Amino acid sequence: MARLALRSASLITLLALGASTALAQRETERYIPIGQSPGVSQTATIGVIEAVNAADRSIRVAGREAAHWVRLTDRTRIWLDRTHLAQTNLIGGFRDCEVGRTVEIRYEDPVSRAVAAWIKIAVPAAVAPDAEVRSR
Amino acid sequence: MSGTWRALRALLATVSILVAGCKSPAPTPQEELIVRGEQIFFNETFDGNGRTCGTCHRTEDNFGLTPAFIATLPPEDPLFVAETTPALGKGFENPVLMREFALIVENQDGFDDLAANFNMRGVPHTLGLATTIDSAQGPRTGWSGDGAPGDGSLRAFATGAVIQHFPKTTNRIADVDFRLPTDAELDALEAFQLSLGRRADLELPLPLRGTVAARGQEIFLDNGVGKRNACHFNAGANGDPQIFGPGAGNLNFNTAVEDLPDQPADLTGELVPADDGFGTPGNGEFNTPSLVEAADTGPFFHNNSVETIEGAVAFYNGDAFTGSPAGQLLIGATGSAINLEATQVVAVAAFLRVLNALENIRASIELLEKSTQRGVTLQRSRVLKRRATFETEDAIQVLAGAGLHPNAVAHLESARAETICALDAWGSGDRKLRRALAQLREARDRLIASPASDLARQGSGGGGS
Repeated sequence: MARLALRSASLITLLALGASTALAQRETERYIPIGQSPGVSQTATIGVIEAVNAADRSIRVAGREAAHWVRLTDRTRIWLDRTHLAQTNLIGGFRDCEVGRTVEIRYEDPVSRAVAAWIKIAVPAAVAPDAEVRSR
Repeated sequence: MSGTWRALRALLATVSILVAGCKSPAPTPQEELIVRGEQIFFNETFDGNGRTCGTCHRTEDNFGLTPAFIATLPPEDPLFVAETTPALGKGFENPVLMREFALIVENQDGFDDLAANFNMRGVPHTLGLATTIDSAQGPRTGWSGDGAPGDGSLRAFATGAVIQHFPKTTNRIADVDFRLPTDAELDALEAFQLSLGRRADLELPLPLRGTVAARGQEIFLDNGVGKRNACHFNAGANGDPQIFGPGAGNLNFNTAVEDLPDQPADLTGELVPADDGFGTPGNGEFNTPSLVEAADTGPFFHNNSVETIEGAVAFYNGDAFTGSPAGQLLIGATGSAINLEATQVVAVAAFLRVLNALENIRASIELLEKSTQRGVTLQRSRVLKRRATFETEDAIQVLAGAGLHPNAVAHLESARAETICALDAWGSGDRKLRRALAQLREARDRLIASPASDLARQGSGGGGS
């Protein structure tokens, strides 16, 4: 009886540990223009990059809320939004974070807003071809 | 004579509609939303390549897609856009694997290498979604639980589906290759999908009449033998709350289906990259599907690698599962691997077949009753009866496919015939419809010893749609 109870407890612990955490993410997010991500854009930061700190891989963004610094990590997905140019959206890099560009940011923790889970950067028409070359 | 009779019937139907229209209460906002969602699901192409949600999630095929059904489609069906549209000829679908195994291309790990970086997955049905998505970690959609962009919800899922499956070209530019669903469309699509199938889980054990199915249920529920109820609590898609905690909901596991030898798609020689499951890059885990709807929604697993429900049950006896992370957890916790004999495999499968047939019957009765409600148009009534016919046909197939309950099958055959005759009838007083409902209830009583009202409540969640 005790053995059965022990095994049940083990099953509870092990199977519970084996369950993974859901991360609402999918690669199709890349093709959703800034401001149109369902269930996200209503609360995400949409604003303009005011400053860039390359050493810290962080950017200062001013949007609906007060300007604040956001860090981009190796986990952060960076996409270049060219929908407004009728061009396909691309994977970008930190160097695409330039002052004056419009961005949408989803945070890993929406309360602290310290680290970006993903960032979409609107690419101006003048630099769009260059962005494509660099990303591919 | 027959022409006069048909004209008279048409006149009576028209009069009935007019009379009922005067009496009928207005549909509720939720009912209107569901109907609107159904129209979008089956008709809206979102300015894309011609596909709709219903292109892959077929009403006639349990809101999924099988090779047998694909074989009935004409070459111009939008499912085959990769064969007919040059811009989608490369990196969009694999026509060989689509036609032979109903496998669809999914770019779970990105769109930058369409030729080599993709997954081949089956089309999951959309039945019982009200019971299979919620988890303590957030909503889980699609085969690996991470199918939706945005907030990951079923509502957001449609946006991702349009981008993945609907574009005119693989550039996937919004407002060029497709348009994104509006908020109103997402709301309607979500409401329609949540209205399909069960809206509540069963409560096992059920008082089954069949000897083999009843034994299968015992094995299923025994954590020392079948060990299935832990992850498929009450044969649904959620974890046992006593094990995973209340509200654990739907879970992901790595059961190593990918490690099976001789997978059908691999045998073709076509490129089939390993599917790494949840996340980017993936962790090898896939979502736990419901078993109540399993028997009539094969082929099984994310890659359609097993054709029969018996084969799917037997999978858990094999080396792939035993050596998998999930299998090892189970061995560590219970002291042994799952090791069912052939008779036990068949018994568990028989149990799942009977569960599926009971759900088919419940759904069929619900659809037929709904078709007679006031405020339902003749056209809508026909749609509902047609869906009821498909459900009844599925019940026949899952039972007859294993030689189960031939007496119930006979009643189901009668119910099917009566429902087809009643397709163009209208109103609750139709004799053919009443006979169909009676036959369905007779069939149900052959499967289970339970007051009809109790069973009707199980699965319906008490709600309507």
